[in-house]
Amino acid sequence: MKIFAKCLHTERRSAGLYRTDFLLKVLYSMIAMYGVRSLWTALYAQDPAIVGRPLPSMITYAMLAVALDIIFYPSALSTAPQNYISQQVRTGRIDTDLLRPVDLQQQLLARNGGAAAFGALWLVMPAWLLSVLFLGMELPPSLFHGAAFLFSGVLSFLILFSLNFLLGMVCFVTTEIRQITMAYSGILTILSGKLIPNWLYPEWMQALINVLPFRCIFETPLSIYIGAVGNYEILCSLVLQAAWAGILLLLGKIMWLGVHRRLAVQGG
Amino acid sequence: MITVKNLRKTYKIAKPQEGRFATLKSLVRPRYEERRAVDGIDFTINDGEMVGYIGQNGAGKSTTIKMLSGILVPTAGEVSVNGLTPHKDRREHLRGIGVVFGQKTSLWWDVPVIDSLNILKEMYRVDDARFRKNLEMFTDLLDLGPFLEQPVRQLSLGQRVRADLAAALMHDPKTLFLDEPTIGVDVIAKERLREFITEINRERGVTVLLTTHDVVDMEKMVKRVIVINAGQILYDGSMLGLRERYGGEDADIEDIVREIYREGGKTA
Repeated sequence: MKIFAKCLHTERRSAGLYRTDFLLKVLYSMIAMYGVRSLWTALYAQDPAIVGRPLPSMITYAMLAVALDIIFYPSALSTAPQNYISQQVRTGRIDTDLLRPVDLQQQLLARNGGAAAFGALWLVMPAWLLSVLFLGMELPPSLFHGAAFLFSGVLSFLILFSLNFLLGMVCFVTTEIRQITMAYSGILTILSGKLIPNWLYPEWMQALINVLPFRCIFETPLSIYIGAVGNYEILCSLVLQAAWAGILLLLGKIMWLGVHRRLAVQGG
Repeated sequence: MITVKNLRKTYKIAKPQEGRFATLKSLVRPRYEERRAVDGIDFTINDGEMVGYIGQNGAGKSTTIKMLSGILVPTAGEVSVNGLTPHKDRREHLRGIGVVFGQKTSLWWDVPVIDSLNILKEMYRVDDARFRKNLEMFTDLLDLGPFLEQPVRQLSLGQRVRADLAAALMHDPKTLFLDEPTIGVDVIAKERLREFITEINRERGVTVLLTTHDVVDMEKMVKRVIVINAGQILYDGSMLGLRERYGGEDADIEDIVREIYREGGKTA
């Protein structure tokens, strides 16, 4: 936890150090938010039935998705775990990570968590505020929804982190993961609800998506925010998210133990 | 104290297969060749000693250091460092040692040196007072001041190694492993590193095992050398003894080393 705090601190300082990068991210998020807003407005004008939700609510969903996506962006201290691992493995620097008295998964979780917390406070909050003021972003229907959204967002991060970490484990076997990463981010974009909400898919696909963990990353917190789900459903989906986060983190841990043993026995 | 008994490490290396369907064969039933990187070595290093570990490229120096630091599990034999078995009591062991690889940094590439040190502080659970004291001392001795706030990637090699040394010593390790700490560093910076390492060894009683190809390092820093060749120890004793055995009191150390390597090459 303390490592996490130090990482958050480092991120904050880095934002000052890499000022242009930071400002560009803010700018990017505003443009992207405006973009998805225009897209859904145009679609809605064509036929409201396509969207399946009132326009303000759909716009809110799409813009918030953009904002959340920024949290998971690479930053000074934390490239996504899979990319970090692949880079360390390729350059042989993974040794230096193994020299730390902290487990690799925990190390990366602290670093990525620190970066994400920074992103939430300094990138998403301002973007959210601006879009509430100027772009017609709605507020959550109740305080309970708002709180549940925040909690759900943390779980989203944990799920995404553990999926990324698992992908990183693959790298120890294959060394190169660029192609797999591309397929992975494609799946993520389509199935997580980042771009297209679940309810717009045909039913058979919705059924498939419901049993996969991806929708917990974007769709769950976003649906809570726009009030598309009732109180009871909120609790259910939070439990589901927590369960996924737990399972995936544990799976990552187990895989890491296996990889570590192999690495230590066979040599890097 | 470091004790090593009949230590071995064998790597399995995939052997390229020849003939028809070679690719298919190597996928279905890969054949491995065994290579003995470390082939039954014994030595004891007492607390507070500083020992040079020398040998040609590929002689097994780094493999030994990796086993001593707990990254690699030995194929056979015993290792004990400060009463712990490195690969078994990993976490506790890692808190008690510092490792510097001259060839690669263990600091975070994109963040300022001081931020890396801060994160390491939490990983090793160094308390504030001790951290401040050490930081002050190392900043002074290694002249870190001018670049503490600079990201590691902007540092010159000499600066980087100094930063890495400080990072490896922040948690007051009892034992320090240095793998080619002076490689690629200019004459004056080398001189400074040597003085620093000698001082750490003398004033703080830190046990140091260092590998190097630089004969001046050996002459100026260590009283005892261990020479390894093809995974086996050729010589273990004082620098003085090395001279006497191989060429007389005023023989050039470089000539002596050359002769030992040639001789070793013949017997191996």
